[in-house]
Amino acid sequence: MSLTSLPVSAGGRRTPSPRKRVPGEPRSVAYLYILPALLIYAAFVFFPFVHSIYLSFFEGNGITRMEFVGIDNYVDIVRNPILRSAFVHALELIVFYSFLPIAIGLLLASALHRSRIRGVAFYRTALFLPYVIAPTAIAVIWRWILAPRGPLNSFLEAIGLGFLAQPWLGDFTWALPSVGLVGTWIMFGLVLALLLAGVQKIPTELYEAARLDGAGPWMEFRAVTLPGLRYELVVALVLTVTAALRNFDIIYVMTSGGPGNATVVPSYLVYQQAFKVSQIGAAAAMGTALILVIIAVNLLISRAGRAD
Amino acid sequence: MVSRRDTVLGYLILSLAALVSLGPLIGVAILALGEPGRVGIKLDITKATNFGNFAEVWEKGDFGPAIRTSLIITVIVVVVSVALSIPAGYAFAQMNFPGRTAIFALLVLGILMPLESMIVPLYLDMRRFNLDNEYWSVILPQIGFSVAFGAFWMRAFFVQSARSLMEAAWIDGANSWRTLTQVLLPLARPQMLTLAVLFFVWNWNDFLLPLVMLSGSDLQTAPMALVTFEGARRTDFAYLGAASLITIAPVVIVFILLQRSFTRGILAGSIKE
Amino acid sequence: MPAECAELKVQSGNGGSDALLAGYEELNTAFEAANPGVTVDFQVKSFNELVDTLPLQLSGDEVPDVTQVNQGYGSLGQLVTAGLVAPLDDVANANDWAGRQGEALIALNGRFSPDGKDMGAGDLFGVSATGAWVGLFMNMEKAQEIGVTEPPQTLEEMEAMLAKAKEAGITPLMFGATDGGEQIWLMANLLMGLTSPQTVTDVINGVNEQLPVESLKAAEIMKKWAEAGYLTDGWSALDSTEVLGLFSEGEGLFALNGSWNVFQSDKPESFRLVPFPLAAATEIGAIASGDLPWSVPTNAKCPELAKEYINFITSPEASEIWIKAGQVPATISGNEQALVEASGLTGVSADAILSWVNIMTNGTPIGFPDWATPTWYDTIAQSSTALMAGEITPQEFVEALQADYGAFTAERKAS
Repeated sequence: MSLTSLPVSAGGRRTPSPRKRVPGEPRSVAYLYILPALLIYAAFVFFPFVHSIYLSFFEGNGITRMEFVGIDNYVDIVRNPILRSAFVHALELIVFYSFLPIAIGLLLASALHRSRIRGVAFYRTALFLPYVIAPTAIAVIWRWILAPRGPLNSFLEAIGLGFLAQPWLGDFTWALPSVGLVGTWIMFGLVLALLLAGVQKIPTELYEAARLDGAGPWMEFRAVTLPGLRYELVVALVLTVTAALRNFDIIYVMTSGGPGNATVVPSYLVYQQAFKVSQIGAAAAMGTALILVIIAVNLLISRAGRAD
Repeated sequence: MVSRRDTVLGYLILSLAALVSLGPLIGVAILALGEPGRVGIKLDITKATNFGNFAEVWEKGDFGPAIRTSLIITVIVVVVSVALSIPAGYAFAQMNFPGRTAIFALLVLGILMPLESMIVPLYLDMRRFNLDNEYWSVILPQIGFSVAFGAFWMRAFFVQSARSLMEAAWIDGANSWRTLTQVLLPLARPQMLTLAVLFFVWNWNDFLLPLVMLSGSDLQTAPMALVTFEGARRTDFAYLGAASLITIAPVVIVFILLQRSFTRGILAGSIKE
Repeated sequence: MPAECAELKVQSGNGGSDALLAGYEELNTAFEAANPGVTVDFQVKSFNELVDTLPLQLSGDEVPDVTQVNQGYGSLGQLVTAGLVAPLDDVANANDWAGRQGEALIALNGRFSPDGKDMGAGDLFGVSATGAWVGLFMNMEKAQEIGVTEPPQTLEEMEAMLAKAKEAGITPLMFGATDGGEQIWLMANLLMGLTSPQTVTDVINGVNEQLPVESLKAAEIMKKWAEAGYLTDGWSALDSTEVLGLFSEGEGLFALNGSWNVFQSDKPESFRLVPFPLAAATEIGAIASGDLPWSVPTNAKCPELAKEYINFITSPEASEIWIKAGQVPATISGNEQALVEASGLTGVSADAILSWVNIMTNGTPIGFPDWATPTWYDTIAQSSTALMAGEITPQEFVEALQADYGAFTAERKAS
């Protein structure tokens, strides 16, 4: 599941003023409205979350008795080079899932701010499509494109760049960037459409004023476009960074963490430890650490978005 | 101010971007119609006529039952999640009750929580209650994750919806439920549709949850069927292309038909208050 | 027969192997005919799915009556320790399974101490119906191009052939590393050639906590072969199935693969499948276990019928059905040669069965190395890819294997 749309201002900066209640109804009626949603949420999201934290302090296979080990599983994440590398890889993937698409999006969106385009619906559909289709299918498709004798290498050979051909997903240097570029492909259209919608809302007078002040393109970008897109940038960052940190399906299908451990990521290790080698506690610790990282990074982004 | 040059440039850039987005998908369509069973595939559009590949894959990959399973799960999740999100969002927006802020914060936290992190306890808990390998083992957690976003999304709508309308309804003697169902809901249709499309896409594409919950049974969702098929025939690229297209077809159709709703959801992304 | 045993729930992990499944289908029909009123509900999973879900599934309420399991400490051993599978010794002794398949094979596939702590001896918890062994596929046409007419008898001969093929512009060894299996087989075969089949069996069973010193030499050979360009271009991103497909289409001199992957060819006589050579021509040894053994879960509703089913699919009569289906039967009946000819099997399909019989009767079968620890498959697979890609040294490679192996073996012995 990829519930990645985030409340940038969770809880609301402007909490709505308490409403009058409907005459004749007790306040507690409200609980009836939220109870069904809350119960299912509590049972199937929140309780497992708490349960996960609990499990992370144990060691065992989930069948025989679990043994309390304190914070050993977390110490392992820091000490064990493979476990640690998973988080390093996740951070590297942020460059491809997030920074690269946003850089491309900003460049193109600012180049486009003066154009008035018809047929926006078509372009949006095309740009959104990679984000909408199942990551498993994307992984199958790109595994084909990047195969040693696949279309990418054939293309390189056809244009005389055969020396660049690689076993992309099997190469210790290239595997992670290759997976990352798939993320760039998934995200750049989404980010571009997002920024495009934002840039067209920036009043043209601001650009005119900037020009009257003698601003060049760079100044114009710094002074008008970037501040005008602050909100969209926060949304784009949240969506893309979260996707980069989660990213189970693509790794599972494309590389299974290989070659060696060159593309292991936290979510893949959670699955692998829990269901391949039955180390339930270690898997829970990895999962809990992942939640903490995701929440921390998202808070950081919201704060940066506000402070700007 | 809009010069012809800028407009041409705009079309050029957008077309190029659209081509990058669509290119691999077009390639796969040609691949899927190509000659099956060849290891070193060269794309040849003139030979992309093997429509039989789809029938073959449909049969061999058990995609019929898989699509059915995915539809059952996804439709239930979408309908129930939308239905539960509406009253919850309404209460958070328009009612004042003890613990409102805290409960809302708790619920919204769920939007951030990655399923990957909870998969282990979820599986153990489902198994304890003998729900694993049943539809419910996928449906219930998917609803749980969905309502977190849904309540947030609907609240944003109800916060903005016209106060005067509601007060008029109260003066007419309507209680909060009638106000919701008869006055506000008709206005909320676009938001509900957006929510439904988002839920459909997210839950259809979900892979890890059904992989873990259903792998002890005959049930498999479309993405699972694709991955199983991929595992068994890693190099029949024409078939794999066809299988990928079958898997994504329902979402692509829903997306193209309801593109506006989806775009609104994502572009609004999180709602400006 | 209890009334609730009208349906026997059988769970297989052979998903994707259509030919094997066809054999089981035929045996199921025969079993139903021999047991009126019984129907076999045959559920098929992929190998990974089976292995991933077995411990949790068997500890629940909904268990099959018969299930395939994977050998090794991490799989069957774990099930034995948790008391999730039942011993089969009564039915095995009553029907002389050791006579059918040879005690060596029976022991390596299914024997464990009752606490699951020691593999290769003790009670019997599983038995295989079909054989699965790893050998050297060889393209004899390509061999002729470099003046070779017979498969290599020794490791030395093989290395000479690899070098000649390279010179002649033929890919010496078709190799694909993404699934991990080929690195592991190569490592084990080289180690067996440098030591002996018994030494490798001891390694797999975890007799000592220290890997043999020859491991380093094996690692050096692996590295040497990769660096000399003996492997398929792009091997680190290629799949075992993919490279064998290319091999069957005429690419390369050798391929290292499993008997379960034998292929059809227009020119069957130009392909051979033989045991990987050892140090001396007189020695025969191979990774040759059964396919996933069949076990009866402790909580099975119909354990007696379940044992009968296993006895049936491993009988000499069943062997005939297996050979007709082109599969390698684990049970040796003695008239394989005639059956192979009668079934019209040629090339590697015939070799798969006849070489199996040869290994079982004249050589030493060993298990798969990854049975030694729950995580060794990944450790060997990942480390050897790194070794062969030049990311780590042979010394570091052996250290990585030893770390995993030593820790698990020590812990197993201590507890």
